Amino acid sequence: MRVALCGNPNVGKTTLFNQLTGLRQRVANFPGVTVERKAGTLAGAPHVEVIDLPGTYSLTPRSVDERIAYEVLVGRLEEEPDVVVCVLDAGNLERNLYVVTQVIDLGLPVIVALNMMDVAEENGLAVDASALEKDLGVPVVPITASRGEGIDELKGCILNPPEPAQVYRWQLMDAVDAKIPALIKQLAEEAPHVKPMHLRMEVLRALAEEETLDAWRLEAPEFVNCIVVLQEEFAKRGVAWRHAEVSGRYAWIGPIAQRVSHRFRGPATLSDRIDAVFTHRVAGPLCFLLILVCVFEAVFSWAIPAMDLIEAGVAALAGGVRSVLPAGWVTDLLTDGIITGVGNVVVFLPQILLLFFFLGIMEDSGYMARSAFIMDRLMKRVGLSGGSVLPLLSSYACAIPGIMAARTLDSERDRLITIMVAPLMSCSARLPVYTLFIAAFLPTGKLLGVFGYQGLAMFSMYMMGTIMAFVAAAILKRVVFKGPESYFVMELPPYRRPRLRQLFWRIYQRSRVFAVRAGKIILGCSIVLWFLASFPRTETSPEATQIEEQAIQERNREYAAAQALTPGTDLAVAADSVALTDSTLAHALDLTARADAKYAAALDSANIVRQSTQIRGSAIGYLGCILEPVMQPLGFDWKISAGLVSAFAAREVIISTLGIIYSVGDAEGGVALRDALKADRYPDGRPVFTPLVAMSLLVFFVFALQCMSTLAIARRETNTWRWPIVMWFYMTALAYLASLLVYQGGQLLGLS
Amino acid sequence: MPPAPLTAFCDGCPLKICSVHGCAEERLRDMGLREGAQVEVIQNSDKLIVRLAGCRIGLRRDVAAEIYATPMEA
Ligand SMILES: Nc1nc2c(ncn2[C@@H]2O[C@H](COP(=O)(O)OP(=O)(O)O)[C@@H](O)[C@H]2O)c(=O)[nH]1
Ligand SMILES: [Mg+2]
Repeated sequence: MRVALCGNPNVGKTTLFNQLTGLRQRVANFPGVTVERKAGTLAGAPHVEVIDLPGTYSLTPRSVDERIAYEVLVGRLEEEPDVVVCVLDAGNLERNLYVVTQVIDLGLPVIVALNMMDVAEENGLAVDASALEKDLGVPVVPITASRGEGIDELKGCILNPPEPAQVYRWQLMDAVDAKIPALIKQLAEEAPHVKPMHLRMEVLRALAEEETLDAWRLEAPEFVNCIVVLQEEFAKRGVAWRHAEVSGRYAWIGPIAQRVSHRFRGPATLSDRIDAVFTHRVAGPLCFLLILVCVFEAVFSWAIPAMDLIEAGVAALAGGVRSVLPAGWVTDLLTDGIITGVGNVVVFLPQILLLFFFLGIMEDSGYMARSAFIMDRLMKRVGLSGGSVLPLLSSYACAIPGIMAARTLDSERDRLITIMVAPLMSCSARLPVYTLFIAAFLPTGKLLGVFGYQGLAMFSMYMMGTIMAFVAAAILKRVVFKGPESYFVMELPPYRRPRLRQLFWRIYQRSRVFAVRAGKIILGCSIVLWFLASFPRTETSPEATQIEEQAIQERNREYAAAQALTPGTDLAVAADSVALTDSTLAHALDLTARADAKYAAALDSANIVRQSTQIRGSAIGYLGCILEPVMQPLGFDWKISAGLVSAFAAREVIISTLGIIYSVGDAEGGVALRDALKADRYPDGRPVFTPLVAMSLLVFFVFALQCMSTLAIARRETNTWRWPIVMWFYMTALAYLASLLVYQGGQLLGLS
Repeated sequence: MPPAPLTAFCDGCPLKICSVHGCAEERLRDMGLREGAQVEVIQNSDKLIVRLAGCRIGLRRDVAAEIYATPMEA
């Protein structure tokens, strides 16, 4: 048996779903579309499947996620549910009942779950559930989903589902009603596959809605003709056919809502008072900005201890594995490739968790709707609407949830534009790259003694991406996706205290999806990368051998010189003797010790030369060298180019690549890599990395689309490869040009 | 008094909606802002907030300008 939960957005469907299913749920996708299908089994009744549908105001879908709810209910995506539980907000009966009347008309058994009884009571509203049950003719169960009250009664009701309604309980205006039977007959003739129960609904939709009418044009031309003729006739007679259905339904439920709810106190206005500040035309945007700054500050500073801990843990693990396993390429792959590679992702999980946490609080408290509302004016200027605020904000954590959140947008065009620009928002995968290069190449001082240069640089990376996202949206809107203005209407739910348990559950689910997806790709990439960097093997390195030979000769020479100072004493033995009273002897010993140190250092550098010869001769070095001429104008050498190649799978991979190229494992901490980068020189002695090169590279990372998961999700959400490909090209071109501008411009200005 | 757009009313006015037009009209009706609904303008600034039965709805100004209403007698 299958039970679907449906209702307006924000009435507590998901809360109820969690209560009904406990932890027995899974998230998958509806076949053919990528809207998450949240399903689980009813606690205590494993044969009953419960599905959480996206929120919808009516069964006339206008956004992608509303369409899913509609198509599930009419049995177009999968088989129709056996029972529909309509979740209502008891405090907002009339509007919530509207969609219930539509579901009843589909001929499905309906149970009404009257949610938020606690809020209604607090606000001084009593709702008479049994009166409502009598008037509607379907079972009504009052519940408080967030506290688990009434859940058992609801379960009992689900297990003994009612019969579907047999008659229509509401009246269309007579003029329209008289015409419906003929239209139903016509449609049934032309489209025999439409279920008899759905015919009336289809007719009403086609009558009131252009898109539905257009959709029938091919399949049922005669039906469409009849409707067009009828519409003209109605227009002539002055019949308000456009809102005939809406009026008819409200004529039924309006009085019911009046009858069953009794206000015993005036409505609470706390939300209004808060709104007076948060949506104020001046104070509102300021508050929003302040909240954003605080959130980012918290995300960055609170995550640091956890990140340090994870870094240390990964290093310890790699070291441990290395000490246990025998040396060889399998061990290398395991430590340098897999552990370090995956560790590089896990390391910024704390930041993602924190970002999800704050976004979750903003959503659950009701503030997110306000932020969309106050940002609408700005978003309108670049051609979007307030609805894009949440997707774009989420993209600061990761473009994937951001792109998926765009489903709630009414306008398909706005949705596409939002998807196209979301990857320009600096996601958390860019963060490790920003951190590394900013820490290595920017001065630590403070501007005017207040703002640290490094912090400012970080901030400007985020600003650059954000501003470019707006610019790109404006251009896309004017050039690619032309058309009429979109509109913006949004319900502002009352402010609520976020429930921590739910919040954490959601954070857990979102970040698990993220970690698994990212983890798979990073794991694969790390392995591939390691192989690319390790093969083909370059066994000999004349340069390294030469360094070694020179070092040996030099050491012998210095030993001989020291020995000459003290003929007759064996220096090797004297070093261990306790009494060092002879100053000449001490001097000689000092000389040999220095010779030893110099020798060790020479051996080390021979090793580095050998490893870098290996990388240079390897597949990845080869790729880097091919790209070097193209990347040279941006200031990048073959090593950075190789890093960029690897980063096209996922941005943060560049750090592991550079780590491998410079043969400093993460085991030695980021500091080692930082120093190696600073120390690297071209053969002619110029440094490879200057602050200008670092800036150029940073800018490249701000704009480039280096993330396979984003491309994959964009493909699934837009159902075509066209947009992801366009996205990749425009962002890569943007990145190249911006870096070119920074590097060449910087050189002209005499910076280095 | 003839109907006037929502944007013409001041904060706190109880109103009755007479007609809904514009590209958002169907969405507005779905959300309960339909002919005959009783609303109250809570905020009328660069954007509008109206109270409707048990909920608040935020509207862009140009959307609100296409909703016509008359004041209700107290
Ligand atoms: N006070 C109260 N809050 C609730 C109740 N049910 C849900 N909520 C809260 O309402 C908000 C929206 O709930 P959610 O389940 O996400 O709604 P959905 O959009 O219909 O899935 C969340 O912050 C819930 O904690 C309830 O019965 N009482
Ligand atoms: Mg939900």
